[in-house]
Amino acid sequence: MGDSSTDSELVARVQHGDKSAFDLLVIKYQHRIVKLVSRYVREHADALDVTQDAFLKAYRALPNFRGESAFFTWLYRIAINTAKNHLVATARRPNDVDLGSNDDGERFEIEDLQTTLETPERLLLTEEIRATVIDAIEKLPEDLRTAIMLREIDGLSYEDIAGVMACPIGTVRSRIFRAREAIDLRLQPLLEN
Amino acid sequence: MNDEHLSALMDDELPAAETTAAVADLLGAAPARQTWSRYHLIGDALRERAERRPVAALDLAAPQPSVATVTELPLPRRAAPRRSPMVGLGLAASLAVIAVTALLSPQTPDGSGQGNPLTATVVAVAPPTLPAPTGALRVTDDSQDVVSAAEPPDQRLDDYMGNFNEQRARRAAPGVHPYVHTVGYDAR
Repeated sequence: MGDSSTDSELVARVQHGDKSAFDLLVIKYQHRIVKLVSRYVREHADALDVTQDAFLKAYRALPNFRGESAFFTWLYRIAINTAKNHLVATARRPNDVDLGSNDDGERFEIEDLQTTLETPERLLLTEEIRATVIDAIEKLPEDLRTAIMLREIDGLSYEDIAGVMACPIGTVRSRIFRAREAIDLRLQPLLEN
Repeated sequence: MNDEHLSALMDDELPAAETTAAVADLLGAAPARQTWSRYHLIGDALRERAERRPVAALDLAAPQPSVATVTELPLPRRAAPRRSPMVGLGLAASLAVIAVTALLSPQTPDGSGQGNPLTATVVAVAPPTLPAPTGALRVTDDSQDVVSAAEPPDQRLDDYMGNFNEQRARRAAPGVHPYVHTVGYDAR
């Protein structure tokens, strides 16, 4: 994952005090960080806690982030260190007593992470979302499906996708958008309900 | 900012000059932020599916012919190749002839014995158990098949191969060419 101009712009805004910009970064990376942390922390609930801690640490440290590495690389390192610290702390405290934190003022910023992923209702919704997305993408025209799969799963740039699909970059951009739009149309009623 | 711009912004594919304005628009509009959230959700769902089925593409190749399918096919039976000791003997005899040829051909009229590298190599791979050639080599028990070393090497080899093939044909099934496999067909 290369350096992101969108990320840089959002980080700059967070550094200037716009907390909502950090929300967008959380939305963008939360699932990837949960997966990363889950490699270290087996309990799903613990992995969510560690992920939340990692985002909190990142938020606190963001004023000192100079952009020498990509934001995600930096966030990745914070998440790994947080997960390792969690393992050490858990080994030291077998009962795993939650000592709480005195950063409740900041916690509200990323509480969505907990409510999005943790409750049984949310887990059920997650399954429904997944099934809906899969069903929607399987019904897409071949060119749209290929374009969005190359982007989301293989992480190819628009230029690379244009090379693979032998079409202009503008067409790739349009196909990816139309694919997202079509899936989103199926997704919206589910999320509204 | 329309949703296509937002989609490109998500992918870092907007021109740098447009990114700042697009991010400002995104942060200023709740519907755009919701769209950002849903589009990322779509990407996460797709990646998760891909991780659950990391070799999904291989599913296309998954339906391999089963053992049952293969056994139901009326395949022609092919006889297992027979490995007669005489075949090995024939091979050994072939190598012996080549070795003899190689040993004799490098002999120059002045007896210097300088040969070309190719024949030297052929000699080196000849089985060491073969009897050393002494001017004439008896390939078969028939006295009339004695090959004379005085004949040109090509002629001696041709004679030998003709003799060998004749002997080989005698061991094949009567009326069947030794190199033709019998192919059956089951009408079922």
